[in-house]
Amino acid sequence: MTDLQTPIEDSKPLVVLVDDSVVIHRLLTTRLRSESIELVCFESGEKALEFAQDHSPALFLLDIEMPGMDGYTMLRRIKDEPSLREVPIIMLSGLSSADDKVVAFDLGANDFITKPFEIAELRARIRAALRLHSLLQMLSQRAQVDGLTGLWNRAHFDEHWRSETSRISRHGGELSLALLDLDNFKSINDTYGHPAGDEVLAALAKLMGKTIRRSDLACRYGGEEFAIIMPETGPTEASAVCERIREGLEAMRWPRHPEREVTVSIGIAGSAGNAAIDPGKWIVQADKQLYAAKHGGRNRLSVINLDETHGPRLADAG
Amino acid sequence: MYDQEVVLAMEQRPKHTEAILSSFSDDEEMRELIEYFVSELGTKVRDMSQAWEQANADQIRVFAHQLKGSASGYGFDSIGSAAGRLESALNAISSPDELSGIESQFRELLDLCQRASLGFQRESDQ
Repeated sequence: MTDLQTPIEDSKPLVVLVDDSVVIHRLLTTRLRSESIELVCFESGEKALEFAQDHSPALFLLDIEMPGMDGYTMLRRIKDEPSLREVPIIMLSGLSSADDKVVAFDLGANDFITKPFEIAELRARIRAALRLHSLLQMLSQRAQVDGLTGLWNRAHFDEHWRSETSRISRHGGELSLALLDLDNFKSINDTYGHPAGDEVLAALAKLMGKTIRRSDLACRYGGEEFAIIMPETGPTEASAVCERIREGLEAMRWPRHPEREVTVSIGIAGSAGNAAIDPGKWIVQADKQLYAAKHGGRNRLSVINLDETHGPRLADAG
Repeated sequence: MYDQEVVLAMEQRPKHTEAILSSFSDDEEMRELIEYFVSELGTKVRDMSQAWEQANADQIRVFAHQLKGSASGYGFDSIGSAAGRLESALNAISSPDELSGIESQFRELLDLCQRASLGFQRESDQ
């Protein structure tokens, strides 16, 4: 089954505590053992940020009065960091005036506990913040997933394509893009109704999911169009993967319309690392291949090796 | 100078000999933690006495603030409250010259801390 990055984390939520007092670290490490969390403690904001950027914390507990980077500065830095922006934050501080709380909440803190605290209350507020984190994760997953097929949606494709092409422009490497379009899909909807059409879409998505590799990303690109981003994959290998999908779909029998088979046309644009082409034009090339497959008779693949047509030497010559 | 040292030494002996125990003393989970906290207290008392002699108001404020925030968590509410009172008193003065005015809050806190370490020694003697 494809690795769609399962939304629910199986491991314990990571909680990052930043407090200059080691006495607090030790107290919380012991007192929060009963909670199903992994607590990591830091005396300094800088070190905590460095750590957090490489891990995925579910919650921050921040002291305010600290030498070096204080809690408010830390709060600002967390909110400035795209990968950490959505992580809930509980301030944990000896400062207790309303003004301090207003500043903290306006900077983005989700909760404020004054020291000295009752441990039962701290535990309960931590649990509440972790529930919030769970909900936020689900929401973010939902916003990126297509409701019918369970594949990543177009927004996620765009984001992912940007980051993949950006990565190979920095580090080189193979990358292929496939665009898949169901053949004569409108007539399936018209003849057998939309539920039949939806079933076909869902079945193709499931077949794609089973066929692609862990590192590939399958997306619903449009109404009856799909895309597969294949990192570390050249055009030949990409064709092999897509051919399995094409074959698989052709072989399927449909209880709703046993007399009618369903096929797909696929356009592939891939590079082994030498192509000099911008991300938008890459998609255009894949689309041209899709068009070629349709006009070549449908139920087939058409591939272009971008190294041969858009190699750096050609780019220089242009 | 000599007289002052004697006075200081006398002041530093606990006023009462009643030990203070953590309210979590019976909590198995807390034993090691309380031991750790009390030993830290011993160090803090020494450092605070030194800071007092040096009229280092800032350092004393940091001690008071941290103790206020942590002592209750270890079951020493009285220490936490006294630290809070010392912190408030410190916030009310504007120069180290005025430290003598808050000496009673300072002594109260020190006294409680010393009684806590007494309490712990007696506990571990049992």
